[in-house]
Amino acid sequence: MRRRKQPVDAYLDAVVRDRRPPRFPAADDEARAMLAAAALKAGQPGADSPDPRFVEKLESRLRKAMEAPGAADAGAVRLSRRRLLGGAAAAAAAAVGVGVGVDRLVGDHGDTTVSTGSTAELVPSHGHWVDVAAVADVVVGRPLRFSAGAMEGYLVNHGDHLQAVSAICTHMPCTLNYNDTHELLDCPCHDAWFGLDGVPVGSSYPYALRPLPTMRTRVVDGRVHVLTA
Amino acid sequence: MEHSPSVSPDLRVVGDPAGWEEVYREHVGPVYRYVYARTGNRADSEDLTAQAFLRALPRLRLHASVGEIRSYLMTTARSVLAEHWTLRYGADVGLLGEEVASPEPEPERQDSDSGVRRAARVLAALPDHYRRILELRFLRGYSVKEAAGEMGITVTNAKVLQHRALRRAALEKLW
Repeated sequence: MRRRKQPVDAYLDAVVRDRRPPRFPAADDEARAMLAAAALKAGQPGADSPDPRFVEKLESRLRKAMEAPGAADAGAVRLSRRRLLGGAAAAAAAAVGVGVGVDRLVGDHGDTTVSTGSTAELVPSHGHWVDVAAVADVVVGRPLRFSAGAMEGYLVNHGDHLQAVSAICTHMPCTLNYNDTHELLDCPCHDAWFGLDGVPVGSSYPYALRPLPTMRTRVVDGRVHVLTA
Repeated sequence: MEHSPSVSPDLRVVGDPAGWEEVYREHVGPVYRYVYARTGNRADSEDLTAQAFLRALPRLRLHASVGEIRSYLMTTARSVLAEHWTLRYGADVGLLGEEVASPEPEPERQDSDSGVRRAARVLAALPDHYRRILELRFLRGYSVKEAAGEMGITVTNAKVLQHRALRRAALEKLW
């Protein structure tokens, strides 16, 4: 049966076990079935009641947000659907290790995913290699933040290759946070999101942001080195 | 913002420090249940509920009726959900429009039994073997293998049956 290894099955198993399901590009009929499964799961008595500890924690988070002077409004996000889907699909493909470089993949789609073509690479003219992490610590789905000389970045394990992307938003120089719900790098200053490959997937700006620059990496004796200034 | 017929004429000041806490405590359950019925798991429901309140509450510095506040919170939860389905699954926005996003969420129906009632209504409309597999899986937490054993069918057949049953359930008015 062709269905056996479908990611939709992993989604359904996650719902049954009340775990966070994996990310994958779902066809419309799959998405409908997934929504039906979620609605049925909510019919399990007690399943859809919030945990009191969560309710309490969120209240203190909200208090901080509400009491901060000039509490910024995180809303008003506009998403370009085409860029969003391009980015999400590329990131998902990279995450399952299809064995195609991300730049290549994006290029093959050939459209609006990246406005400026492929991602720029930062190669300092008098650079040196800096040891930033053990390879074993860079796991799929959990980008590792590093600082190396002038470079601030995230090491990303794409399954079939490692990548070092800048941690600095290409709009204003704010440091991006990793958002594990959506597996994206989020800008805390304004609304801008980047895929783990550095491709911008959405923002509140009417124009496309530049992709995050990448840095050269090498692996020596189980350690990851980044070429920095 | 549309007024539902049940809008209360009571006004309250949300900018008042005590005001948002009251709004939060009153609505966190309904918002969470609304989100849970469209994600089916706790981790995502907690994240998306948090996003909805973090996004909506700072904007509620208005004299607003209870109905308007509910409606605004639910609308925000709905757009957070639509973003989630798009970012996580590349789900078609049109699909979400029909089935998650479009019908005005009815906060007064998001009471603590709403999920149970809706699931029961959908299951009641299904043929026996479809209802059975979905009950075992999603209400009783059986693995595919366990459900197959219980029903006396092969694992492969249980999987196929589950997919067919879900496709059929999706035709019911779940949302």
